[in-house]
Amino acid sequence: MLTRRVRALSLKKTKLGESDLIVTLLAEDGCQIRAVAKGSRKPGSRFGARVEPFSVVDLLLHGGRTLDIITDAETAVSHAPLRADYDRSQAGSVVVDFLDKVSVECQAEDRLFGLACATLDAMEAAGTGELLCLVDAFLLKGMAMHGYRPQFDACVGCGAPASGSERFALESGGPVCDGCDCGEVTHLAAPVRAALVAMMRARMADVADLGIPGAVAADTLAFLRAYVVYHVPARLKALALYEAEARRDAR
Amino acid sequence: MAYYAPPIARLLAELERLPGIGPKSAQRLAYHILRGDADTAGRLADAIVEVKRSIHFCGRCFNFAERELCDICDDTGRDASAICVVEEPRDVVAIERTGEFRGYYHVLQGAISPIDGIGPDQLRVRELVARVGAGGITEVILATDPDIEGETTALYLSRLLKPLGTRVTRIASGLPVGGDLEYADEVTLGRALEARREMD
Repeated sequence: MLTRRVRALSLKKTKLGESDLIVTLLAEDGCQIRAVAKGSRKPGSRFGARVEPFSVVDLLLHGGRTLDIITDAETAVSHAPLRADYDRSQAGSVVVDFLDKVSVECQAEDRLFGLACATLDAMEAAGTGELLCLVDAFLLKGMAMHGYRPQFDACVGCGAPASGSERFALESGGPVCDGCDCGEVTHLAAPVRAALVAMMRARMADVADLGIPGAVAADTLAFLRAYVVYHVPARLKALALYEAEARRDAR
Repeated sequence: MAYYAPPIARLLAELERLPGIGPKSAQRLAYHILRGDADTAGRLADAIVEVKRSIHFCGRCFNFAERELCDICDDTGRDASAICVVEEPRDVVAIERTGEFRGYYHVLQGAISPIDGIGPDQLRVRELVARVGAGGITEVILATDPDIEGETTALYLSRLLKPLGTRVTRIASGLPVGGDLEYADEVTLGRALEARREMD
């Protein structure tokens, strides 16, 4: 059986048997890894705390019959402040849930890991009011890396300039002019479009400084949720809960 | 070709639905039942039917109970000023075994887990707030698991309960008794240092 070393971000834990866990991880190369952490639910476990979601860990994996076995884990970045604050934890959950659903075993996309780490780092440092913008920016960039980068200039039906259109085609990922029919459309208000363009150009560390108002960030999240749900064939439960809370807070 | 007679196949299928039971374990349990006498099998079947028929959730703390209230809520000799909040009924048993807590409990029936779609509305949070809001409780001890779901739940409850004027405390995290310091992970050791106390 092969033994290998990987650096990975812990996304999710699933209980296995009496005291084991299946840990879902995003490796540095963007591939998803599912590995068993034996005995990690026991109080004396050597790496129970190290494989908590949001942690970046250096792992030693031993090839098992179906899943790898974690034989050693060293914390690289714990992202502990995300677990010590309710709002940060909720925002971080959207990030790991999205990555859990879009990443695939043996399908490398190394930018995803960098984006995830940059987002979690920014969430650690950001104020509570800026978390919503960071979630928006992460979803937008994550979808772009997943192959669904939206564009906002020309009509996706005929190519005519459509930067003033408020109709956005979910399937084609762009605005639609009044003369075109491009399937299911959603409303894209001008402030949301401006926020999305600014977020796409900004680095994750700079997103909080864009000064996007809370109401616009909440509308942007609703737009992005519709876009993500349309293209990702899995239920993003953390995103649904986060959006419901954001809507409740906005009210 | 069917490997098992239909009644055995049905028993195996039912056993495999239990948590932690795979095909091999189900086969071992089924053969054990088959090898035993009819009375033993009957007692097992009766116990399963009986527990489903007679056990429900306590109307106050949501622990398992045979009557309207569980034995702990029914015990008037306990300290009514403290409530210990746990995730599952089995956590009540774990804390009771310590013999260190003489107050009452509140079982949330889970923990907040956004990735699994479990929010505060799916838990017994409203009932806890109502209990604390009714008065007479001076301390709420949050004894949810020290993992991300448990911590998130504790943070949420703390935010909800503190405005009610009650002291909200969290069970300590730290080193397991009998363990070696050098094997402790950074997070646990950090928490142990954070929650250090002065020696008597």
